[in-house]
Amino acid sequence: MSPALRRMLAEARPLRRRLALSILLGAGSIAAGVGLMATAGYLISKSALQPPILSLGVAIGLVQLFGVSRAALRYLERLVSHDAAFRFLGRLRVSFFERLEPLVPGGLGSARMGDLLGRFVGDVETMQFLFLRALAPPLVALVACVGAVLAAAIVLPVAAAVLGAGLAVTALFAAAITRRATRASARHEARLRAELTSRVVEALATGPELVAFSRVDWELDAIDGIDRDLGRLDRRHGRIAALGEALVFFGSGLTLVAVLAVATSAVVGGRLGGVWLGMLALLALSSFEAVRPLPLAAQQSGAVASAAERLFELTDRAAPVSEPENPLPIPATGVLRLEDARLRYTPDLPWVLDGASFELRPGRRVALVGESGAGKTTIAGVLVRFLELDGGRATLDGHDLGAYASDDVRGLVALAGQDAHLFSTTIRENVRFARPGSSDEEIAAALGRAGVWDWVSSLPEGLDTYVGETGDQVSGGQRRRIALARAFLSGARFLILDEPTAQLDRATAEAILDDLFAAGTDDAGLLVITHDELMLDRFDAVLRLENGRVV
Amino acid sequence: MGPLDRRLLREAPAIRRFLYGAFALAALSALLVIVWAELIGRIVARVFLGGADLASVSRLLAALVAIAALRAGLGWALETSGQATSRRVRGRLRRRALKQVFRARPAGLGDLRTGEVATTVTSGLGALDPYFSRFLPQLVLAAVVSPAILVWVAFRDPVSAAIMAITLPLIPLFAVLIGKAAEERTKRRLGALSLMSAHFLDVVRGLATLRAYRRGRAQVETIERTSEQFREETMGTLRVAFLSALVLELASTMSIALIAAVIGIRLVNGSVELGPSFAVLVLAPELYLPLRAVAAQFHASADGLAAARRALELIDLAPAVIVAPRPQSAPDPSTAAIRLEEIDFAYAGRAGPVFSGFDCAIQPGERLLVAGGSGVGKTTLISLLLRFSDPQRGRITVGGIDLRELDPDGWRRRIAWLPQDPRLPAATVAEVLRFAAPDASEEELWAALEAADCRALVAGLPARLDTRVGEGGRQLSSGERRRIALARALVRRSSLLLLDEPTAHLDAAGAAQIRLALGRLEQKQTVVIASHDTSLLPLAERTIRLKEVAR
Repeated sequence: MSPALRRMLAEARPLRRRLALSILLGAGSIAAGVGLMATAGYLISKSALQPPILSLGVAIGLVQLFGVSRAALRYLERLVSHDAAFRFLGRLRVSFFERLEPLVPGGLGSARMGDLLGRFVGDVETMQFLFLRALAPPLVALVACVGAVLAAAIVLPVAAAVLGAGLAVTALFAAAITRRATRASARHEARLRAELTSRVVEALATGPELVAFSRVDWELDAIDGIDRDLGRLDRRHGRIAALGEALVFFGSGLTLVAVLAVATSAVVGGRLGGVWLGMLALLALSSFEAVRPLPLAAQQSGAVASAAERLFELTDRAAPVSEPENPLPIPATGVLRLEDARLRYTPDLPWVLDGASFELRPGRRVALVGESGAGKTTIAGVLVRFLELDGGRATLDGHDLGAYASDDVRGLVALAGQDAHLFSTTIRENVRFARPGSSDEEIAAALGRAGVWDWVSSLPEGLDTYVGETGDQVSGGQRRRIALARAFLSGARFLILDEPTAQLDRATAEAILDDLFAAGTDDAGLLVITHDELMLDRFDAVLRLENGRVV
Repeated sequence: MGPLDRRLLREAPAIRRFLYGAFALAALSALLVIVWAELIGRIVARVFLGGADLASVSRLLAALVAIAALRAGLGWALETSGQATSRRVRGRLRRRALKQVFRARPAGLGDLRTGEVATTVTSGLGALDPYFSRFLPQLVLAAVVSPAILVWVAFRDPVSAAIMAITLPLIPLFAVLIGKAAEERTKRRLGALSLMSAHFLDVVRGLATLRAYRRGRAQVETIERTSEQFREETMGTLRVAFLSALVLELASTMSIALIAAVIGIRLVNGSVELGPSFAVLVLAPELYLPLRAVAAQFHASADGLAAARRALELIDLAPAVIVAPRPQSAPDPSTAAIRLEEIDFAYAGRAGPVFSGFDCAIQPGERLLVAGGSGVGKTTLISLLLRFSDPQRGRITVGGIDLRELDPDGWRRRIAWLPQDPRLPAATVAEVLRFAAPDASEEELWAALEAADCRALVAGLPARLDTRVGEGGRQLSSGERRRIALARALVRRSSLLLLDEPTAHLDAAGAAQIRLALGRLEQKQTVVIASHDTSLLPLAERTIRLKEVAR
C-alpha cells in the first residue's frame, strides 16, 4: 500500500467501527447467498432419494431463512458503507481545506485555478471510493471466502482445498493483472483529467475572446485532443477491467469443474455420499460472488492512491509565513515600519524587494507609486503577513510583525487587494464578511464611502442583488468599489488599498479619494498603492518604489 | 427516469449501433447459459443416482470449461463495446454543449456558472461510463436472457416456470415504482453535487480575499455544513434507491427458495427427475442476475444520465444572436460606414435601458473616441459591434446591410478587439499573439509588438517569442499583460479595431506610449476607442460623449 494511501487511511480512523460493521454485514450477506444455493442443492438431492417429506422441513426452513437474510444484510451493508464513505468525504473536504488555507496566496506558486478545481473537487470526491470500491471488497471477500471454504471442509476437505485454491488463484490473478496494467497509467490519466478540466474552465473564462477572435472551434479541437488522449488510456483501462471480470467468470467455471471432478471421485470411492455432490457444486459456484468485485477494486485502489498522492503533494508545501508560538498581544495602534526589507519568491529569481524602508503612522496618508512589477503589491503582502521577508525587518509598534498572530495583524491592517474576489452571493454578503454581524446601515455607509451606494440603492433588489459568479454581473468599476467597501467596513487601523482607482473614470476616482480624505478625521493610517500620478498632491507623503527600494 | 432517453439516442447515433450488437451477444449468451445449466444437472444426476465415474462425465466437464470460456468472452465484448460507446457519446455531448454555451453567452457566462458547466461536461459526462458499459448491457441481457430462461424452464418444468413468471414481473414493476421516487432525489443530488463544487471553487478562488479579512478558517464550518447536507441528501436518495434493490433481491432469493422447496416436494412424489430439476435450480439465479444488476447499476448510472440531460439542456440554450439562414458576406468597415439607427438595448434583469433610441455613425477609416463615465454603455456599444448581442429595437448597419444579415464569424473576422480585462492563455508569446492571427509570420508578430511597445519586453525574455508567459511561466504585470493584448489585437489584420479602455492599468509612461502607438496606426483602419481617459482625446478625429447621446 502506498504511503499516501496509508496517510489517507489514518484520516479515516474515527470511522473504523462503521467500516468494520459494513464489512461484517457484507460478508454475512454473501455467506447467506452461498448458504441459500448450497442448502437448495442439498434439498433437491436429498428429495431425489424420496425420504419422508417431514425430514426435509429443516432444509426448507433454512432455505427461506438464508433467502431473507441475504437481502436484508445486503441492504444494511449498503447503507452503512455509503454513510461511512460520505462522512469520510466531509471530513476530507474540511481537513484538506484547512491544509490549503495557510498556503494561499503566498505558498501556491503558479498553481492554476483550474487545477485547484480539478484537484480539490475531483481528487477529494475520488476518496469516497477508498471505502466503497478499494478497501471494502477485498476484506468482505476474504471473510466470506474463508467462511465458504470452512463450510465445504465439513463436507469434503479435498473439495474445500480445491475451492480455496480456485478462489485464491482467481482473486489474486485477476486483481494482479488489473493492478499491474493500471498502476503505470493511473497517474498519467489523473493528470490528463485535471488538464481537461482546467482547459475547459480556462476556455469558459476566455469565452468572449474565443468568440471575438473566431477561435471557438480551434479551442474545442484542443479540448477534444486532450479527450482523445484520455480516451486511449480509458480504453486500455476499460479493456483490462473487463478482462479482469472475464477472468473471474472463467475462474469460477474452472473451479466448479474441478470441484465436481474431485467430488465425483470421492462419491465413486465411497468417501462422500452422492447427496452432497449437488450441494458442493452450487456452493462452489455461488461463492465466487465474493471475488467478482475484486478487479474493479484493484483498479480503483490505483486511482484512489494517485488522487491521494496529489492531494498530499499540494497540501504538504511549506506555509509561506510561520505563526509565533506565543504571539504578542496586538497593540491598539502603533507604527508600521519596513526596515531594509529584502524578499524574493524563489532563490533563483531576482530580488523583488531589495532594501526597501518606509513607515506608516496612524493618521498619515501615504501613496506608494512605481512601475508595474516594481514590488508594490509584494509590500502589501508583507504588511498583512501573506509573505515573510528574507532579510530586513517588518515591524509594528517596534516588534517584528512575525511576533504577532497573523490574523491579529490582519485585524489591524486591512488589504483591499488588486485582485479582490467577489463571491457569488449578494452585495450585502460580499461586504459584510469583512466584519460579520454588521448592520445594513453600516454596510450602506461603507458602500457610500466607496462611492457606490447610490448605484446599489437604485437596483431593484438593492443589497440583495446577486453579483454573479466572481462578480461578473456587475461592471469592473462597481466590482472594485464593492471590494473597497469591505476595507472601510472592516474598521482596521491601517488600510492598504492596492490600485483602488484602476478601471474607474476620473470623476469617480477623485470622488473616492475625496471620501477617503474627508473621512480622515479618525486616526487610521492609509497606504494607497497606485500608478495614477495626478492625485498625488493630496497625500501626506509619496513614496516611489524603484528596483526594490523606496527612493 | 426512462432507461433510454430518446433525445440522447437522437443526439448520439453510436448508441443505436451499440444496442444492435448487444442484442446479438445477449442472444448467444442466453443459449450458452441454458446449455451450461443442463450440463451441470446432467453431471450431478449421473454421478449421484446413475453411479457414473469420473471418466464417463469427463466429456461433459470439458464442455463446461469451454462454455465458461465462451461466456467470459461474451461478457468482455459486451462491456468493452459499451465503454467505446460511452467515450463517443461523452465527447460529442461535451463539444456540442460547450459550443452552444459560447454561442448563447458570447459576452461571458452570465447566469451560468463556470464550475457547474465545467463539472457537467467533464466529470459529469465521465459518469456516463457505468451507464453504457454496465447498465445498458445488463438491461439488454435482462430483456433477452431472462425471457429465454423463462421459456426454456416452462418447457422443462412448468411449475417452476409459473413461480418465476409470478415473481419476474414484480421486479421491473417495483423498479419502476421505486425508481420514480428516486428520480427526483437523484436530480437534487446532482444539483447538490455541482452546487458543492461551485461553492468550493468560489471559496478556493476567493481564499486570498477571505484570508485578508480573517475569514479563511470560518469557511471550514460552511464546507462542513454543505458536506453534511450533501451526505444527508444523498443518503436520503440511497435509502430509497437501495430499497428497490432490497425488494428485487428479496423477490429473487425467495423465489429460488420456493422453487427449491416445490421441486423437492415433487421429487419426493416422484413426479419430476433430478437432472432437469437441478438445471432449473442452476438457471433460477441466472434469471434474476441481469435484473438485479440493472437495479444495482441504476443509481451508479443515474449521475451520468442526469449530467447528459444537463448537457442536452446546454445544447438547447437559445443563441444570443440569430444567424440569418443565408448570411451575406460582411462589407469592409474600412470602406463602408457603420450606422447605429434608433437603437434600444437593455440587459435582461437589469434596471433601465442602456440605450434608448441611440443614433450614431462611424465613418470608414475614422478614429472615434467614445467617452463617458463608468456604466454609461461604452462596453455595451463595443459588444453590440462585436455582435455579442443584437439591439432589441433599431438596427446596426454596415455599408447599408443589417448586421443581422451577416454571418457573425465572418463579420468578427474583420474586427480586432482589446477587451477591458484581457485574459491571455498560459502559452508562449507567439501562441498568445497567433490566437488573433493564426498564420501571422514572425516579422508580423514583431511589428505588432513594436507597435504596442512590447518589443523590448519580449526581446529581453529568455526564449523571446517562445517564452511561456502567464500562469506557469513568466508572470506579467497588469500593464505588460495589457500591452501584449494590444499587440494581439494589432497583429490581426483587421479593418475595425475596437479598444476598450486601452490605458487602464498603465502608468503614466505606459499610457503615453500606448497613445503614441495608437497615433501611428495605419490610416485605413476604422478605430473605435471606448475610454474615460481624456488624455486620449487628441488622438481621436471625433469624440462622442455617451452620457448625453444615449439617454
